[in-house]
Amino acid sequence: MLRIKGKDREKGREGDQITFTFNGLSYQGLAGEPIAAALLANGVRTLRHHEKSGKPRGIYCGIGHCYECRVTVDGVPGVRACLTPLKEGMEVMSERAGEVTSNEN
Amino acid sequence: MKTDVAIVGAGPAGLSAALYLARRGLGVVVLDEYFRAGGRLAGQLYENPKKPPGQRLWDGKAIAEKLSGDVKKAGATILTGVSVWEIAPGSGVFISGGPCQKIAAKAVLIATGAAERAMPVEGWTIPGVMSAGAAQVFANVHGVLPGRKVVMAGIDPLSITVAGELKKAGVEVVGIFLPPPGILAGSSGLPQWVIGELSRSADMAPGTFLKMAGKLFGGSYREVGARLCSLAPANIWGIPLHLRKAVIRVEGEEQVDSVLTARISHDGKIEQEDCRIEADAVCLSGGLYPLTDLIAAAGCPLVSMPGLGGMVPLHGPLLQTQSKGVFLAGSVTGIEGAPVAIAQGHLAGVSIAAFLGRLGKGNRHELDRAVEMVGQAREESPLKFYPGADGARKELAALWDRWKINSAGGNYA
Repeated sequence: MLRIKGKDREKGREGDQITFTFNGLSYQGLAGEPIAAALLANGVRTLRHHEKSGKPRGIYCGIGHCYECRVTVDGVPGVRACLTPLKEGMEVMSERAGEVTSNEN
Repeated sequence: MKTDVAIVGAGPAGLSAALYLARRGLGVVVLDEYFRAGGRLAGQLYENPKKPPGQRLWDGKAIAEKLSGDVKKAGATILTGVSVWEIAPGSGVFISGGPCQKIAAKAVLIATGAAERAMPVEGWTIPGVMSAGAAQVFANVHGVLPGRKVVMAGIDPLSITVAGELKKAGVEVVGIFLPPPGILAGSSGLPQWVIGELSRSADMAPGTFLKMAGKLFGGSYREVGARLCSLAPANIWGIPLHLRKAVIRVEGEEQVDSVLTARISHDGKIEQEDCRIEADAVCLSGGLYPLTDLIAAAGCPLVSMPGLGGMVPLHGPLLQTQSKGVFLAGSVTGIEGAPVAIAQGHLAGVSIAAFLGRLGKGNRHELDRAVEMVGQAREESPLKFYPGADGARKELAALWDRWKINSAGGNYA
């Protein structure tokens, strides 16, 4: 686990342990933390694959600027995982090569 | 939605402007793309040695919570998770992710802050590579580490601070290295330039790690010379700081497994490949630049001011711009710390109230006082992000005066 021990309680910000899925697999996270933080805490680094090259991509800027962390959340594509708070039962999916058209080179 | 003032950015600058304006009885809507107000205050915790004892602790998270609470109590609306795409000077801003598509407003404050300059290196898209600022947000705000064994590329106040914070949180920071040399790194890839910048900017810096770096490089010329000749790393509390080695490639298939370093000559060229270092995360730091997309879209001219972090919008002493009714505050006017942003936010608030005819007779002194407070915040600032800031601000003021004379039909040649 990459989560700093006691940090969640100490900060008192994020809520309870909840369950969500990423690409069909079940994970635990804290309600209200960004999806990207919950996945990183679970050791999940690859959030999507590049639309043309198929190469793996993960978090880069962490503040919504670079759009590298875009995922599909409950069926809505192009959601930035670093800006979106986690909720109980959320279904998060990678956008895989060929699934979404993009201008990115 | 209709209001008096739309504020873009719920960081220290935007919130402090909102507080002043709402308390003056004006309608205020604050917009931010993040899901929580506070901006970059959230990850800040340090002691300011320039403040009197008892007032030294800077707890950004507590300050952000109090500010946004006070703003709401004063009657302003804060909308988070909202992106602003366009400003229409004189009529408002266009948004997505909110309850409507346009916020009609008589005045707009742009307090968008800063972003990190990208620092590409071969392999930088491999998962596990992130910006230094991202690592700071995940570790300090969300309590999640970027990895177990981290390499930092780029030597600047932010990267050294983040490396120290990560080490304190239990990460093995393998080393801080120069960025990959080349046109993108520019002078930040030159060993001598890095030493000069650090010694000028970090001597009174907050945080022990950065202060150590300042002391390390603030010494005599002979010492600095010796540092330059030596290939051995300097040491900041157990973190090796390499002034003659750069990260030139990140390697790994599904995620980072190692980085390749190279020896760098005094004039910033690759001498020879050095070694491969195991790591599960890499942080890249290219420094901060003012986030000017929106203000540029509003038609305000930008001027190049390296001393302020890059291109900054031309603006006047009361934080007004060439677009009537569009004002600025915080790092979008040049990279500075949160206390300066708070003082600038207050000034922008007073300035906007005056623009809307709501300052009231006999309250003009509030403007002078607010200008003074910005100056005071700058003097007490523990960290100068860019050493040339003072000169750049003077140059900017002169450019503004010339524009005013010219636009009034005068001759400034």
